[in-house]
Amino acid sequence: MRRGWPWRVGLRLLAWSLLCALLLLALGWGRIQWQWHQQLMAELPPKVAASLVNSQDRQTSLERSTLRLAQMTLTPRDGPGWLFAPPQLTELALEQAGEAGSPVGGEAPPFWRGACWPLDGQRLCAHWQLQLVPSPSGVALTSLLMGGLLSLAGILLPSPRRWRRWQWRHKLARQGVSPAKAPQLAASLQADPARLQQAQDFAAAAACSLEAALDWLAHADWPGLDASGRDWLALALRQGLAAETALAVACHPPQLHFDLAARQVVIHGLPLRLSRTPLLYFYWYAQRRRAGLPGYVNPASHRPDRAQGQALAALMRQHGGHGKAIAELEAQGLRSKTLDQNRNRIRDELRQALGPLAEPYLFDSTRDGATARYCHGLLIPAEQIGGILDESLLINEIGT
Amino acid sequence: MSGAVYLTFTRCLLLAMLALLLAAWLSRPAALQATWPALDETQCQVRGGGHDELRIYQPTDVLAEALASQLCQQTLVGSGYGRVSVSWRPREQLDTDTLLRQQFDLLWDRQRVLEGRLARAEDLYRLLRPMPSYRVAWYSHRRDPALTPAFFADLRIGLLADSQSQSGHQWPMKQLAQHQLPASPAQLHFYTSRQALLADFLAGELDLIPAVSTYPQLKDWPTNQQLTIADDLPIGNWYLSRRVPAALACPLARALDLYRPLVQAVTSTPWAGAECGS
Repeated sequence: MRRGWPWRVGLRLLAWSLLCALLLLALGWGRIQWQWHQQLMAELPPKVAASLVNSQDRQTSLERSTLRLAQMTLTPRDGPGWLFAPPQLTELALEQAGEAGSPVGGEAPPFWRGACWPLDGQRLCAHWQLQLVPSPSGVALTSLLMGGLLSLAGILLPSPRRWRRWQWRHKLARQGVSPAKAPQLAASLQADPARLQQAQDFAAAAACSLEAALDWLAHADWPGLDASGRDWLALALRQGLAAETALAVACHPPQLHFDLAARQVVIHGLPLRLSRTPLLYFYWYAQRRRAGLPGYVNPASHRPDRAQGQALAALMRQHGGHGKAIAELEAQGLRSKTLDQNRNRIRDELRQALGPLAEPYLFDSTRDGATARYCHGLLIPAEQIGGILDESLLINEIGT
Repeated sequence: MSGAVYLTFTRCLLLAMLALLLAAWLSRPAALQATWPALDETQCQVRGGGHDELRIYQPTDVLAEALASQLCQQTLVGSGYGRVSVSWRPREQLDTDTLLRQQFDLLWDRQRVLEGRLARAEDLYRLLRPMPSYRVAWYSHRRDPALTPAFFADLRIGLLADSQSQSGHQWPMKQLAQHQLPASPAQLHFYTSRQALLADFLAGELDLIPAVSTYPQLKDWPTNQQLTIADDLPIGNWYLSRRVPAALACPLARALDLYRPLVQAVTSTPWAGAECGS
C-alpha cells in the first residue's frame, strides 16, 4: 500500500530518532563515565596519599578509607543532564594490587569501572560503579530534536536523486519545455527514462513540441505501455505512421492478420506488404496452424509432395497467385527447395521490417523423428491468427 | 556517475559531521559535585550528647579509633559535646590559620612547631599533657655505619617525603647536609608512608633508613648496624584549646593515658600521670 508523504516523513523521523537515541545514550553514558573517571583520578590519588602520610598500616588505612568513601554523594553542579537522571555512586572501593607496573592483581579495570595508580612503588586501585539511569522524557526529546534536525538536513542537502532530476530539468529546458512544466516532467521521466526517446519520436511524428508529446503520452487514455509496447510504438513511429496510429499499434494485442485482398499482413496492428508468392506460402502455414495441424515436414528432395502442390496451386489461383508458381506446383508438386526459398523470403522480409519484434511471428523448426527431415510451423498461437478466409480447404487434409 | 558518487560521499560526510556535532552537544554531561569525606579522620557520636564537636589532631593514626571511642562512650558523656573527630592529616596542613581558628580543640604537636606557627600560642592553647623524648637512628644492612663518604658510597637511602616528619625527614636530612652526604641526590628515595619505607628496607631495596625502634621488625636490630641520629627528640605534647571548658581538661588528660604503651615503646622515660585531682 502506498502511503502519503506525512507517513513517509513520520517514519523517516522515527527511524532517525531511534538511531539518534542509541547514539546519544552510548555517547552520553561514555562521556559521563569518562568525566567521572577524570574527576576521580584528579582528586582521589592525592587524598589517598595524604591519608597514608601518618598512617601506620596501609591495608588498614585503605579499608578505613573505603568505608569513608561509601558516604560520598554526587550532585550535578549545573542541574541534571538531559539524557540521564542524576548519577548514583553505588560502589567505591580501594585496594592494594601488587607492585607498580606488575600484572599482580590483574589488568587495569575498564575506565568506567575503576583505575590504578602507583604509590611508593606499589599499585593502588579504585573500583567503582556509577549507576546511570536514562531519563525517558529527556532521551525522547533530545533524540527527536536531533532526528528532526538530521531529517531536515537530509531534505536540504542535495541528493543524487535530486541532482539527476535537476539534470533532467535542464535537459528538458534545452529542448524547449517550459520551466513551469519541467520539474513535474523531470520527476516522471526520471522514473522512466525511455519515455523521453519515445516522446521525442512521438513529437517528430506528430509534428508537435516535446512538451506536448510528453503531456500527451502522460495523459493519453491507455493503460500504459510495457517494454514491448514501447518498442512497437518506436517501430511504428520510425515507419512514418501518424502518432495516433503508432500508439494504436503499440497498444494492439499480439496478432497476425492476413489481408490477402490488399496483399499484406497486419502484425501487431502494423500493416506490412509482402511479395505475392511468399505471402501465400505464409498464408498456407497460417491456415495449417489455425486448423490445428502439426508443423509441415519438408518433402524429400527427390520426391515432391504432389497433393500439397495441388492444394497450394488452388490456393494461389484463388487469391491471384503468380501464374508461373502455380504452374510449377501443378506440374512438379510441392518441392522442398521451393518451400525453403519462400520461407526464407518470409523470414527476411519480416525481420527487415520489424527487426527483433518479428521473431514471435516466424517459424519453429524441429527435426522429424521418422524421416529426419526438418519440420516447420508458425510459432504464434492459433487464436492470434486472423484473416483466414478458407479454412475448409484444409478439411480434406485433416480428414486424410 | 562519478558526480553522483562524489555527491553521495559529500552528503554522507556532511550528515555524519552534523550528527556528531549534534550528538556532542546534546550528550554533554553535567559537571558532578562530589562531597568528599575526609579519608584521614575518624568520627563517632557521643551517647546522649549535644551539638558541639570535639576535634582532635594527632600526627599518626595509631589509636585514633580507640581515643575517639573512649571519648564518645565515656569521657564526654554528659559533657555537652555530641561528636568527636580525630584527624591525622599531614602536618603540613596544620598551618597558622588552622591554629588561629582553633580548628582543633585537642592537638598533639611539638612545642617548637606550635610556637613557630603561632605567636604566644599559650594564649589559645594550654599544655595539657607533656610527653617524653625519644631516640632516632639510622638502621643499616651493613655493619658499622658511619657518616663518611666511603660508607655512603652507592648506598640507597630511604626517607619520608613528609618534610614535617622530625624522625623520618628533618633530622636525617639535616645530618646528611651537615656531612655533605650522599655524593649523589639520586641515592635518596622518598616515601609517602613509613610502612612502605620499612617494607622496602626489609626487602633489601634500601640500604639505610632513619627509624625509631617501635617497629617489631627493628626491635632486635643489631646495634652495630645502627647509628644514632639523636637521643632526645621531643615526641610532642598534647595541647588543649582554651575554648574547651576547663572542667574537661582533667578527664581529657586522663583519657590520653591510652597512649602510654605507644610512648613507652620509644622512650625509657616513665609516663607521668595526669596532673589533676582524682
